[in-house]
Amino acid sequence: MSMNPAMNRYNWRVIWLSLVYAAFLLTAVYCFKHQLLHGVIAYVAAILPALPIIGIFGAMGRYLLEEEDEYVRMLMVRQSLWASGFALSVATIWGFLESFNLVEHVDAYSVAIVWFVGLGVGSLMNKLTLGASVKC
Amino acid sequence: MFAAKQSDLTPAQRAHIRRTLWLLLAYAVVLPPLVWLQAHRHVGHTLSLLMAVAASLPLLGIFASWGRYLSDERDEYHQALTLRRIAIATNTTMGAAVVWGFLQAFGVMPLFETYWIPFIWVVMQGAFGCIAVLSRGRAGA
Amino acid sequence: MLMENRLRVLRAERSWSQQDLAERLEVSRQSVNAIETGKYDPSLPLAFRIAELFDLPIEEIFVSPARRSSKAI
Repeated sequence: MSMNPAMNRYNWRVIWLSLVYAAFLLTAVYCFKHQLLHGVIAYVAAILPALPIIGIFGAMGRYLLEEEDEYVRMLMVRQSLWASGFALSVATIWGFLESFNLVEHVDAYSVAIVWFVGLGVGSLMNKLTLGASVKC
Repeated sequence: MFAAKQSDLTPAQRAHIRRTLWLLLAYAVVLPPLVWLQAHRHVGHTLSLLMAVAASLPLLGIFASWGRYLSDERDEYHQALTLRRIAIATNTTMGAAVVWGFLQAFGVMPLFETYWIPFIWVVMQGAFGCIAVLSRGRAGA
Repeated sequence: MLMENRLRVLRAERSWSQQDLAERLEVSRQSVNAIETGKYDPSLPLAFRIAELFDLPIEEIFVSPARRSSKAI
């Protein structure tokens, strides 16, 4: 099945952003491990890996705007909603489990991973309720 | 939340606001005793688990209420507006969580528990409401 | 996404306020305003309800975007 242009563009953007993310992350980890950074530069280096991840969310948003097939767009919007609900719910539950000392602390950027897992949840829900879903 | 005069609210919006208020009330009632118990008594593992789930449920209910609102709302324009708001709130919240998460991981900022993330999300929804009320001249977009 | 339409004119001919039209269509006043000002395109079922309310075909209320762009020639 050929993928449509908007989906192609989205996939390319995600690939590039993932590479940038890996580069920024490895650099930051190295610098902090060897304590090379202080002050404002430390903040900047710590934030840099976050930017490509934010970019991936942005790419998802761009995709929803660029997708011309309104049915496919509708499916993807639903999957995104499920992803958001899923991520927010997991964050809520984990937060309470953590404050009641039942699980260990997990860094907040993991919520982004949970969101993308949630897309899979959304895809499943679409299959169950509408009989179709978008693979991304 | 929906940034309209009382009389302008659709039935689905009214129902959602009603559900949300009840859930927030439940949250306010349930949470303090649980927190107190955790702090002042030794609570076993299973009970702690149940308490954590109990504390989460009202918030999960609020998210479910948003989902229910989206499918209940018969006015397609309001539906579209709300979808946009949810997208912006989610994007911003996720972005903030990711940035803060990295600052934490590199020891640049203090830790916080992840339930703050949905809290920010809910606050953003309220902020949308306030912004739209304050800029009443525009058509509530 | 600005779709031209004659909704305001048709509404004025009947001396209906936006609220009146909204009640007849069973939508909110904000929806009517958004559609009139071209900020929001109605769905197909809603477009049909509008057309049936004014007893006109859809094309006489809403200008097809394709047709509109060809007017530029």
